[in-house]
Amino acid sequence: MARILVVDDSATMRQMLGYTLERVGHEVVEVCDGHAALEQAAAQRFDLIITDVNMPGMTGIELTSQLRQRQLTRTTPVLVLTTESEQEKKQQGRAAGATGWIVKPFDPDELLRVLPRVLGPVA
Amino acid sequence: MLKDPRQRQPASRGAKLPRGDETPNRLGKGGAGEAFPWLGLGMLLAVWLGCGLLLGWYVVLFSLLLLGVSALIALPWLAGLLRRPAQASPQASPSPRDGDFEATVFMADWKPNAKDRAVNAVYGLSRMLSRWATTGHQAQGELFMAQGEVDTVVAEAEAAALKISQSFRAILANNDRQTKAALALLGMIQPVEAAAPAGTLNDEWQRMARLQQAQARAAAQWAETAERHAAQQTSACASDLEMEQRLDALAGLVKQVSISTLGMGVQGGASSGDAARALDLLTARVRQLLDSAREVDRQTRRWLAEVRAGHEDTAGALQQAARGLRQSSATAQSGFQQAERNLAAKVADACEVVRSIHQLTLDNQSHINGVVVAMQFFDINSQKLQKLKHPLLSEVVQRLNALAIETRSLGRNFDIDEIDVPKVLREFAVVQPGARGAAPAQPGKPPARPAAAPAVSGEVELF
Repeated sequence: MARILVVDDSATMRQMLGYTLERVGHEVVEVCDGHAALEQAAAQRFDLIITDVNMPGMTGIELTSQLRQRQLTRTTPVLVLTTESEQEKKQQGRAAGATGWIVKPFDPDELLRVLPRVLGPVA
Repeated sequence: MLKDPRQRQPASRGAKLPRGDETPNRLGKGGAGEAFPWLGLGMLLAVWLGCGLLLGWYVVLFSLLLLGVSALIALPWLAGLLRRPAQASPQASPSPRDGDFEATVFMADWKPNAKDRAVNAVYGLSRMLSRWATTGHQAQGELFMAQGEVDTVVAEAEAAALKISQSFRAILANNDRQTKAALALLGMIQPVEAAAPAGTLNDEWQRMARLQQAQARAAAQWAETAERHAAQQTSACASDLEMEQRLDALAGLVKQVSISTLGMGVQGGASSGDAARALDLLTARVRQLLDSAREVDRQTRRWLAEVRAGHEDTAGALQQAARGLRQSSATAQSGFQQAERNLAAKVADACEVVRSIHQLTLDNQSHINGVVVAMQFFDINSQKLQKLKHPLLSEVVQRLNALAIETRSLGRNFDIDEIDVPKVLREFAVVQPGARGAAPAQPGKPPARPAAAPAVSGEVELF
């Protein structure tokens, strides 16, 4: 099973993601902003990072960009989970190096269906 | 609409603002009182130019001289005459702005009396009431729009809450059904374990135990038969050995008879006198030997019969044991099959219950997914409310704060405490749209809020 880093300033959203992912056996680490996410990503290897966009201090797109600049997370899949659905925002996320873009509210089953495509053999 | 008393009072008293006064007073430097004399001179110049063109320049120069003299004489009067209509038209003056009230206070050479102060206060109050009403209406409109947005958000939140409630209710109902199914499963299992005499499954186990005992007995018989068979075999072997020895003895006797017969023939040829007695002896000896041989043969036949009988007993016992074993085995197999069928039926029931529980668990998972989505809606709507509330209320509060400051300034500058405001209001018949229905301002109190204005006092302080 995969080790997944969840980055969201909303405790509710972190809980929902944690519940959904842990239910199928994944190990979930939760942080509330981009700086904490960078610290965690530097300390241990993750198979997947799921991040919100609108967060205090650092946006999810900035976080994605910084993750791509680091050796340890250069190839780690990054899923952006946000209420933003504009094409322009999506393009920004893609340009920053995001692997996928999921619009909130997410369907747990749909998220779990997407995971194997993102995780590959780890799933 | 009530006119601005500050535009009238300085002119009526001939007051002038001192040069260099930096207070923003349009009545002195930039007001209509200075604009109109220059306008008159400009008009005179235009008339002069017109006459010059039409009548010739000599006549014009003469008339100009006359006009100049008359202008010097009449200029003060003309200036006063020109000022009055200018002051009487409020459209010509710029609209008052915030801070106009302070300009009046700093007019050092004009000391307003009580009536002037009252008029100013009434004017200020009327303007304040009007602005309260305007701001109140604006704030009301903005809050109304915000309320529409909030209503939408709240409706979404309510829908989400309803979905959560429904999901949890369904989960609880499923849990109830699961519990009942588990109890039913227990109800099926418990009688089998607890009610041993009446329990079907227990009977089967007892029957299987009995079959096992029968098998054990059959095995014991088999062992006993095998032992007996071994003993008979041993005995048979001993009999065979003995029979062989007897047969050897018999063979020896026969050989002796032959040799004796041969010896007697020799001896009979040698002496015929004793031949008859010797022959008798020989015959008796041969008869004795033959009897012995018959005895050996008889014993041999008997031993053989015993051996045969032992073998037959052994075969019979073995056959019996085999039959017993076959029967026991068949009975045991039948019992096992019956027990298996009973168990299969019970296991099928248990599997059905387990499948039911599994399906309920899947349903529960679907409901829990609904809860997850609904909780996200809650979170998203909460963020929307935060984003909406902050700028809108900040703007409204900022405006109301400005009005509160202006109100305090008004009260401070015009000594409202000394003025009988209701009386003045009645005298000047001040009626403002926003003040309709509002109580007249009381001394020492801020002006009455228009009915449309929101209750902001506490909120202003809080924010």
